[in-house]
Amino acid sequence: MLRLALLTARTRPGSFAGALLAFAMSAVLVMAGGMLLEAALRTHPPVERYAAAAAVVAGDQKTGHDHDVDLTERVRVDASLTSRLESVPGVRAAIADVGVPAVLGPRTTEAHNWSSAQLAPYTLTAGRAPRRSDEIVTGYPSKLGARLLLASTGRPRRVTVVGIARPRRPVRSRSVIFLTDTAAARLAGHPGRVDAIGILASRGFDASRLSAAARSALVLTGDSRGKAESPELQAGRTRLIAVAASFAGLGAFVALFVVASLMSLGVQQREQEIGLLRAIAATPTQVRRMIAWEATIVAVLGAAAGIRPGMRLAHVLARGLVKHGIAPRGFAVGDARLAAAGVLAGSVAVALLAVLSASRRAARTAPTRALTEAAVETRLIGPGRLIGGLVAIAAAVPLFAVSAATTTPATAAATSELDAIFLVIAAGCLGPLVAKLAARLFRPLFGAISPVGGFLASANLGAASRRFSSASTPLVLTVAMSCTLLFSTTTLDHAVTAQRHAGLSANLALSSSGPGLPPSTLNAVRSTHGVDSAVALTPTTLGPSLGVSGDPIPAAIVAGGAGGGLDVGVTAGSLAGLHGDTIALGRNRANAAHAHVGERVPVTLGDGTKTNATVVAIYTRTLAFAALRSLASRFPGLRVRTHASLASADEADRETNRWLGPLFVGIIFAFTSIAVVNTLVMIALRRGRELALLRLTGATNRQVRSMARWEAALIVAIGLGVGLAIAATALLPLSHSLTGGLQPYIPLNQLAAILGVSTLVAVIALAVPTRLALRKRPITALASAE
Amino acid sequence: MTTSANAPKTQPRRVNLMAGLRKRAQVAVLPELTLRGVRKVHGKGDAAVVALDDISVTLPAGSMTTIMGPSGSGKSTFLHVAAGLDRPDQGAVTFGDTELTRLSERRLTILRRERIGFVFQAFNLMPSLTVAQNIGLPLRLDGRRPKRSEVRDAAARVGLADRLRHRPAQLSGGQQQRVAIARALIARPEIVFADEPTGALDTRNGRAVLELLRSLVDTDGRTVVMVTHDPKAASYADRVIFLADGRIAGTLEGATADEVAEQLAHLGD
Repeated sequence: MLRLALLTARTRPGSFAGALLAFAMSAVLVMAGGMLLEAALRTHPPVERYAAAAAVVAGDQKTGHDHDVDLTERVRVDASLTSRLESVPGVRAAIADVGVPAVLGPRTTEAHNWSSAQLAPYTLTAGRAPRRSDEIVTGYPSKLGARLLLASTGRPRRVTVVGIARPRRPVRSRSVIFLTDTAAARLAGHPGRVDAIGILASRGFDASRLSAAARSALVLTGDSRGKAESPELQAGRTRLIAVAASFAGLGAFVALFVVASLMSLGVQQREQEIGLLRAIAATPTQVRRMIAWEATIVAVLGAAAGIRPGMRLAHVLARGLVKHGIAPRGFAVGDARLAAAGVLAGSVAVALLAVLSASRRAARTAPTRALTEAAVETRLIGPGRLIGGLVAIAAAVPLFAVSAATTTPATAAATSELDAIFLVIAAGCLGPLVAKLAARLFRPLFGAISPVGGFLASANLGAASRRFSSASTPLVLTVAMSCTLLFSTTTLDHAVTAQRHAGLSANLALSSSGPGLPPSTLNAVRSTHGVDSAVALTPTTLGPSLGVSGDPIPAAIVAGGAGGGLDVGVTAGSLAGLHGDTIALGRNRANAAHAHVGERVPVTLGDGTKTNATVVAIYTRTLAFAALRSLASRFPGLRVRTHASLASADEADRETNRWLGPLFVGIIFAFTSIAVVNTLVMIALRRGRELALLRLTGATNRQVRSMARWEAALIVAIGLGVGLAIAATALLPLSHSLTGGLQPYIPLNQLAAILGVSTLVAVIALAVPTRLALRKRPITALASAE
Repeated sequence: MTTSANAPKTQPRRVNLMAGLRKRAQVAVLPELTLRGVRKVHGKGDAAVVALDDISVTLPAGSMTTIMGPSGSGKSTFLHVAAGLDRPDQGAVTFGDTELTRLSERRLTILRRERIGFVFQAFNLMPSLTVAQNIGLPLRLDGRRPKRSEVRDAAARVGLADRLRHRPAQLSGGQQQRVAIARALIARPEIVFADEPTGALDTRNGRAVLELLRSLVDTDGRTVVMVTHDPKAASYADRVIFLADGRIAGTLEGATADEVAEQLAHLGD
């Protein structure tokens, strides 16, 4: 049967090449996604500043019911742990590290306590250790004796470079300066608590003994020490994994869908040949084995061809992720073997499944069917497709409900995407019904407008509904997925920007390129002549609380109370009361937490600290500021956020939306467009005989082309119509949960581009094979129809 | 067939009378089909096969001619060239005043649509159209809207008036051939070409098809050219032309099946 499979493949180069192409493209997509995901899972923050420490004791950055939510602010440990840890046998020294963002002269850096220099270790190459609070040592080459302005959490002041130190191994992730221990602690502003404690080991050290002394803090060794060094990267890593996983998942779905529908189309087109095989006494098992062999050959060859381009795509994407700050420096895809093996095995499995389920009926085909007209479909839809379609719809309904009801944009976006996926599956399964319905609707109209072309096209649509549905399904996939992915991003982006604009009515905004502005700036600005009022905003996050369990909540710390250019649409209470342990909540948050003005609500802060705050106001522009709180005076350390974490929380999110989103959409669009061409050409190639017969009955080439055009119009109309309907179903609840309205933000040029390009691709893919078919003499075509 | 819509179908006598009248009226204008010095070579170089070699013949109007010959004798090529489906390498094909060999592909198509009908061995019908739509297709392609009565009459003529709403796949092979003949009837072509029309049929169905083709000549005054290898089928014709190696190897007028078989058996001599 293997021989026979090879022989039949040779005689049908058209559909064979189509299937190969589909597998190769799928392999590229899945390969790239898989490698990115593997790299994202493998990635961890580098160990640089704690390279000399045998172990690092640090706070647990995870929180939440399932211990799976990353806190975006550093969870600090009690300074008193240092002495407890030092008493553990085998510990030579336990050294506390305290860091605070700073700007020294023009350079953005991090100020640490001098004793923590031993953990790298940094050794002096010139000068001496700092002794006074206005003396510093730089961790990079600089000029000894230079007097520079140091801006950090306090008032900017002049300091003197008294020493230059060099790390034993290069520290690339940040640049560091050192202050005296007391000066560093004062700037950090959280007495009694330190960022992490590094352990220097002596003979007989055993990391497992530290756990008891460390209490609830974590003991990190080896590569995981990097987590304590840069906890802000951990949240970035989670997002990177999410990004890679969504690409891999989406890629796998699209690939699976395209390959499965193409394979079943292939079998469907060969019913006559299968009937013939049955007629010359091939048993159903033999027929199925032949088809299985074919599928395996095509899958393996196609997937193998896609592996190398897939690796290239993964490399390109990884570089892009690093360049756009979504992945940390040094992020690179690694070994391709795992992904390649997965792609090969997956391809064969999908091919076999698709082909065997499609050929089950074909193999049972009565031998007599060989002599009947194979182009005629005996039934509209099988029980498998019907059940599949209904199940997919059943899955989509609750997702729709969730995305319409949820108050978190992230949840709304994720569920609407899934919603679209299920609806695409449903459309693929129930497509023939849609085509039949469209035929019923359009037939009188088409017949009236165009008595030859339109009439024939709508007759074909009604009689060959499965073929038409196979043709329009990839278009549905293209339009639905592209529109949903792209416009959920633009809708979210647009809503946030619009609310921010409305929320910040200020004339001027001050911001810092580095670690933020010291609080004293606010007073300085206010006392400036001509300034009416001013408010200080510090973006931050809260841990899971206030009715949200799975994600950090974006928030802003407000100093300066009401006025000052902040207009968030307060509906109850007043922002004037926002000082001390108070909080203002967005409408959605307040509803979720069942909170009213004047009540005290439990809140988890960005570093995991649990506390209570009094609700002083409830407001409506929730996308701009999910929660406003005024706990700054009690937790002065929270006031300033490091440049890195600011970038990771805001910039990276925006980059993910603005760069990565469209890129993914572009890749998916390109892939599905190739699937569109593939499927349409495969279908058009098979129509040689029908076209020839039509011409022999007296149709001119123009009439045949007119029919082909009407058919293309029908395929495109169904594909685009259903695709847009699915996108609308996914986007409307998203828009509702984000803005309360039903207007997803859809840039018309992007929509026009998606629809225009898909239409163009489909029309060309249908027109070219028809034109080629018309070049042959009809009588030759009739005799040699594939 | 010009029975009006309200003419009852149970009056065959009257129908025949009318057709007969028309036949007499049209005999003068019905065109002949003439092949002059036609040569057709398939393939090139060493693989070249001479399918037709200097064929000259005139097929009189209002008659039924059968082309016979062993496999590879060129009978299918003859049919294709005569019908304007294929162009000869040399020579001319003339239908009445029109020289087919000089027409553009588009003019040829229109000529075929208006004046020529086809019945093939199989795959005659558009699978997506119903019987009625298939029968009316030539009119539709000509820009006319087929009248329901016309279609019904044509279907009744081939005995399929009750199958109008069926799809080709729901019909037997013989029924499909009869639909193809009904389609050839409705466009009122002057000449009908049939390529092995009974090749895939059993004896009884084959006979029905042949009788219908015969009635096209006798009742409607059309010209029928048929390719077959069945002597019984050939015996329905007014004239049998034998082909061997691309040349005309003999002609029989009004022959019986036995005479045809006899001649066929000695073609190689």
